[in-house]
Amino acid sequence: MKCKIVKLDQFSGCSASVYSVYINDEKKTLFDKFIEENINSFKSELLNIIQRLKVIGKSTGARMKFFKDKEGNPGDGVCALYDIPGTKLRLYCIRYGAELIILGGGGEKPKHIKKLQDDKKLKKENYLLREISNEISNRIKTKDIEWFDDHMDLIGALEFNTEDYE
Amino acid sequence: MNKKIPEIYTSPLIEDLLNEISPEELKRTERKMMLAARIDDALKARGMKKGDLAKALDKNPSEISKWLSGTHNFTAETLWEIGDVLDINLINIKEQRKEPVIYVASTMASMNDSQKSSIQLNDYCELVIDKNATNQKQFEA
Repeated sequence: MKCKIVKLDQFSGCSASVYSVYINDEKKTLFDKFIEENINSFKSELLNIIQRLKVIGKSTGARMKFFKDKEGNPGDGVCALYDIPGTKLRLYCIRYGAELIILGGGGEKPKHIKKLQDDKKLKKENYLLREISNEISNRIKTKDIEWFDDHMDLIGALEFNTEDYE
Repeated sequence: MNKKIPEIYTSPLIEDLLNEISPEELKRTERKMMLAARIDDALKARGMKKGDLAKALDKNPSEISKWLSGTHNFTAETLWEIGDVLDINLINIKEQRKEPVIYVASTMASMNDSQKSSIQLNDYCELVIDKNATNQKQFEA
């Protein structure tokens, strides 16, 4: 799998940097795909998510309390943006402290779903982010990817093939 | 090693959605999130966990998680209760003090430059120069 990590201009600010990922040769990032998939059914929820991401970048930073943690493997940073009570749309992210988040995809989380593995789409999006997080961690260990500007940015091999470390 | 800086991407889809959000809506969201951050910071400063706040206010810890998520619409009463426990003011209802005004009637023409420069405004009085007044110094409370 080919990954390219990019910084989202409209959300990134002085409090946090917000990234997303292109997979293979797709023309849209995971977050753009998330918008496209949900704009018709969950537009008001999407608008709220957009506002919160904007505030995170510009004012508050990606505080842990704004996210639901333990959505991935221990220590991999995979989490979900906190759901507004009564809403169904779930967005998965990888959180690196309050300074940097990588937006993935997500989808509708119906009420009857107890765990994400019960829903094919949520499981696919969540496990993809787990894999990306693992790949980034491997590259941070080997210094192919490094932290920059007080953990506000990642630099280095931000375009990579997952097979390189298999 | 490739030390490439991240590519900056401006998404047309995000742009379209941002254009639908009014500055007032964004301000409301920001206030909710800043309020949650303020409560979170106060908890940390006092070495308290969300469970401690839940216990103090007789609430379920999941309710506190919701408060700290930045998505909650607080009532004034809840903010007062939280403020009392954390000893912070989350709603400033202190009345703005009406400062006393002292009127000074003075004939500017009769004052020399040194006298004029000695007149100073301070935080608690407003000095009004009445050019038509005949008395050099006339104070009204």
